[in-house]
Amino acid sequence: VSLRAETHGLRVRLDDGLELRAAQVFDCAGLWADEVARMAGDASFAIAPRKGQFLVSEEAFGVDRIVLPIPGPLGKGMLVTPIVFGGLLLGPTAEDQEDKGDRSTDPATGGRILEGCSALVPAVAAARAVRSFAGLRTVSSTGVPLVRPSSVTDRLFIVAGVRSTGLSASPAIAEQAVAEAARLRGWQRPRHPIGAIPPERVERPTGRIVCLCRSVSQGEVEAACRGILPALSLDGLKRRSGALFGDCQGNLCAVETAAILAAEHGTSIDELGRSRPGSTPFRAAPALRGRPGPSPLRGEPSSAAEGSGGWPSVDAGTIVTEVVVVGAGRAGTGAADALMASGVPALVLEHRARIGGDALTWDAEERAAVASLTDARSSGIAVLTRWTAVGLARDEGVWTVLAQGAPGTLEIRTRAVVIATGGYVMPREHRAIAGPRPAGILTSDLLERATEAGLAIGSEAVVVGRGRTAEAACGRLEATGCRVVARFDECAVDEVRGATRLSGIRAGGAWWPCDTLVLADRLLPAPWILRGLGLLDMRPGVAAPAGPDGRLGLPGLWAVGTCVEPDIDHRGSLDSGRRVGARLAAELREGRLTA
Amino acid sequence: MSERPPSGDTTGLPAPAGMKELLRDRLVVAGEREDIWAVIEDPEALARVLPGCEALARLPDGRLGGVLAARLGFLTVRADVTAALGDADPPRAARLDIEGRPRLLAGSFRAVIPFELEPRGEGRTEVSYRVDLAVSGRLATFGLPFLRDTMRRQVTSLAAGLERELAARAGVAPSAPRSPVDPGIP
Repeated sequence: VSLRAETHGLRVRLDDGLELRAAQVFDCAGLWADEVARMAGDASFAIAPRKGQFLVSEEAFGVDRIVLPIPGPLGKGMLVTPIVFGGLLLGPTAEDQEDKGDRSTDPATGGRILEGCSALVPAVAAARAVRSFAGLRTVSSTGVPLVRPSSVTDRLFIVAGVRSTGLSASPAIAEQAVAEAARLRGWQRPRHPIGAIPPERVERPTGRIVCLCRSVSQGEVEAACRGILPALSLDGLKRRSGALFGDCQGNLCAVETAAILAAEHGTSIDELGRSRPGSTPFRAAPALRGRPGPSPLRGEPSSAAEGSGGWPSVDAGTIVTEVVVVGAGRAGTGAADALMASGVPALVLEHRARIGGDALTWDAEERAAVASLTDARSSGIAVLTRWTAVGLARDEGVWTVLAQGAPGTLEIRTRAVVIATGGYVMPREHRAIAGPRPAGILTSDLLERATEAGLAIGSEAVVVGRGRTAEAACGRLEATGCRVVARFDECAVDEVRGATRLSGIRAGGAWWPCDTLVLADRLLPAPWILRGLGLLDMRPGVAAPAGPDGRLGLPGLWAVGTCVEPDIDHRGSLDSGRRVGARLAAELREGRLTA
Repeated sequence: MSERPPSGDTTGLPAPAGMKELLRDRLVVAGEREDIWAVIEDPEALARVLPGCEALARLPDGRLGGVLAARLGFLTVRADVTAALGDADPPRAARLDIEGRPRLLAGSFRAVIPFELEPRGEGRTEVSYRVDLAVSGRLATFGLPFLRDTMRRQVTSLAAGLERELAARAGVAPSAPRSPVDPGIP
């Protein structure tokens, strides 16, 4: 909060009252470097923010290297940049502004980014962004980067205004700044050049799949928490591992990912920030505070019990069965139910710890189907919960399903596979909603997982959606002490506000103060496992290309439910699962399944 | 010194069901066809020329098993692999089938690589090849462009290694020094 030059150095006072004296101070305060310099009486420069908005596409459109135009006066212009975890980064824009805290994005600029990037790579015009975000460059009023002593005292060294090259050039800039300061001070400084970071050689067990849409394993997340620059926040984890960065934008995996991050750092999920201080996405539900015994907020979420539901645990290895059903939501439950009724042995793989999807939205018949499957252990049906199917391969008429679980990898050889992987609610990042990215905006998928882990989200919420899913979301919010202040059937939200935490939304022409926005309206299909077979491209929201009878383009491969028809309702999913299961059973019985 | 003539379609069959054609190309390697074939059939020599090969040995069933590492973007992916030569017509053509599981990453890959060797005179051989690939799990999320780029670099490094091996066997230096595009695995 203050900098004062003294004879042999500077006195620095911090906001907590602590005072430091230093012979040399480096001002590397980014957007605020001018304000820090002004504390010492140096008004020789000003720093202005220049916003760059980006879009992220999961589809790479054949681009395997950076494509950029000839640079202009404002910089390099729009680029098409492959992301290290797959997909493309499109942008950035260059928008001069005054507000140093405004990192908001807007749909109109997103359209201009697509236009600009498709001038470089025409196919990009078809991109569907899974995310937009903005960063702020630091632009110096002097027109050039500042790596020099302050105009007031050389005890203060300015390193500022380096714009977008600052990140990649920072090690060299640091070398130069320290060398110059050492010369001024007469320091004898042994050189410790910054070398290449040694590669991570420790190989951990892969473990179970945490991030479903990107197949990121527990081992990868743990490695990101223990690396040379360990991830300390959810955003840090995302940038290091690629988890939370796929189609669902973390709404399916944030709770489990946060549990691992918390366990790695010996803290609690509700103490974790998404990025900056104050961006904590979760807090303990009131009922859990002060609860005796091991806290469900530490380490694995409460739903993590292995082999829950009474199903036997399985080790890594190879299994042979007649049919594999991937997913035990409504459609998968229906398919398994019909196979069981026909006496066809089948193995059901479910990523989550329980079957049947969201229990709060079951009707009587759905409840009966789930109960029937749960009691099916002696009927040739086996259900493996917390095992995730990650791959499919076909060789000489036999399908191999690769499943990943905590014990390792399971290879299942089978004659037929039913894909019933369901869907996910369209996250905010896919929608045309302007504004910044504060914590507190989530889908009903994340709300369900958070509340099941004993977490609460906020205190005043707006809910978007109708039907059983939205009703269940409202029930979950109320149960954790969060008041629903408004509900909208369709997503009429066109703007949000908030720095680190949501403070309000604009919907229907009015602003609604709230700290939580729950999206529970539009489902997108999640047939990601088919991407590896080349049956789908990488764009989000593309359904499994099954025919009306559930058949996919390859013999013995079927798909049903939300992953095929995202608008299907719960009951429709169960019924269509039963129809596909019965049809498949008949083909197997009659020997009509073509190899 | 290998060179890269225009791509051909010597291996013109479509990719098998469930696989995608990743790459189809030709290159000319400084070496006799028979000598190249001898390297292909020698696990110890193959281990020396395969880029990122950390182990390779003949398995009891006749296949090769080992550990390969490759740079995928900024990640180094190590995989346990098995490989087998099929439809061999020595020393003219064969099909290399490779299956692997990356370590740490969930998923698998399978590559089918039909190739042909044609003498081009002056001790040179043209290698026509195609790579059909099926990937699952984490590898599938990287997308084909990244995998294609990696495979191109691996092939370039493989050709360089092959030329070094053949030159060493002949007791001469390679015709020209070359730097593989991939600087190697750290």
